[in-house]
Amino acid sequence: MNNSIALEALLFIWSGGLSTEEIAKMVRMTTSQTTKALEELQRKYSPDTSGIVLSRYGNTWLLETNASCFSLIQSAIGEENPKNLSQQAMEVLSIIAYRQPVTRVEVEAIRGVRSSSVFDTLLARELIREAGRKDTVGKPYLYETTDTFLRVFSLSSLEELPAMPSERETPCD
Amino acid sequence: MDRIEPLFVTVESFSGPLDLLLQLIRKNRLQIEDIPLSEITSAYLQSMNESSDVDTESAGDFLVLASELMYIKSRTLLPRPEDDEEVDPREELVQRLKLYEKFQNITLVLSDHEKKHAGRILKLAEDLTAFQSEPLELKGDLDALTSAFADLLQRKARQESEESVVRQDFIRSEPFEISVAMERIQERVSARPIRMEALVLTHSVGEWIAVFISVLELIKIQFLTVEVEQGEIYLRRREFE
Repeated sequence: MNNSIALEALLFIWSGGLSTEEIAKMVRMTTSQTTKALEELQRKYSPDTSGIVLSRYGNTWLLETNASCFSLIQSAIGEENPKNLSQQAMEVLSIIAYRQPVTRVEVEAIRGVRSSSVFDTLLARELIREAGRKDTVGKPYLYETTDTFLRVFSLSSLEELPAMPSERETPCD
Repeated sequence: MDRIEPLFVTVESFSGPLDLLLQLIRKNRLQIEDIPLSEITSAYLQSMNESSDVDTESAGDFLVLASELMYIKSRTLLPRPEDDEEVDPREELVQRLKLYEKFQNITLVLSDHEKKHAGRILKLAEDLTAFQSEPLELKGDLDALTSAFADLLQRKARQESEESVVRQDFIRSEPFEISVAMERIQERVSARPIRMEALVLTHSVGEWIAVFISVLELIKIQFLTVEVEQGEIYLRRREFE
């Protein structure tokens, strides 16, 4: 069977997204072969030519609608704008994104305000996750961003994060 | 120096004390490196005083910065010995403000990014249970199963001890036979998942253990599969083609 046919079917069925390894296991290929085949398939499901797009977020592959169709879909459902993250949540999220893995206290030190409820929100929305513990007093949890974070911000990997303005003057690090 | 204008808003409209300070600086077109401490402190305090609906927790954070500002202000007012090598007490605050501002700016960039790329919709996950008569691998692993069962037992034991205070003397211990429990499970379990709890008739821990041992036995002879979801044990009959 043609590999791309199998991949399409798998991605259609497991519509919440599959990792490269999961797909590789199912189609009995190596991960590098799988990655190559998926990248090949991305050409077919490209935002330029297809209403359904094959996207990669970190290690997760999934099929989703073309962003350019959103206003059409929105007016069809009669739905208002989706609920965006609060200003606070966005701030915490961007600090974690650029400083990960990072503890809650380190984030709070930058913001100058307690942020535990914001952390709970971000954890519940699976935008961040725990990433072990820091080897300091109290062994605080470290946090990092998830593939869901990448998807929400349309980044295929963390390297695609917009560059921070120069860090030379920051006293941290 | 002109008087620095305070901001009159609720504390909720700021994402924190540093945010309030930065907005004061921006509103009055000041440079972070060069804030007139005395004026900014009184503007900050005034903004705080005028703000309504401050919940005590976040008010604490705002007060911390207020006291820091006043501390720095007092330090700059005191005469310092000639050979004092200490850095400008404002320096640390300036660095913090700059770093925080940097993150605020990048937050705006990310927000834009999010908005620009919003609206990619995922299909809901398929319900694949119809195809899963024989799962490739057991999902709920042994650890999950045993810990779910341990939790259950503990819950039951607590319930039982509460109830048995009254009934202890009337009820003798009943033996629960594994073979009886197994028969009952085999009758009740189908292709649709059923909660293990539904198979137990009394609150007795003894019966729970009998049911659990039966379940393990039935897994072993491949009659059942189990799944543990949110601490609940689900049983399903295993089917073969």
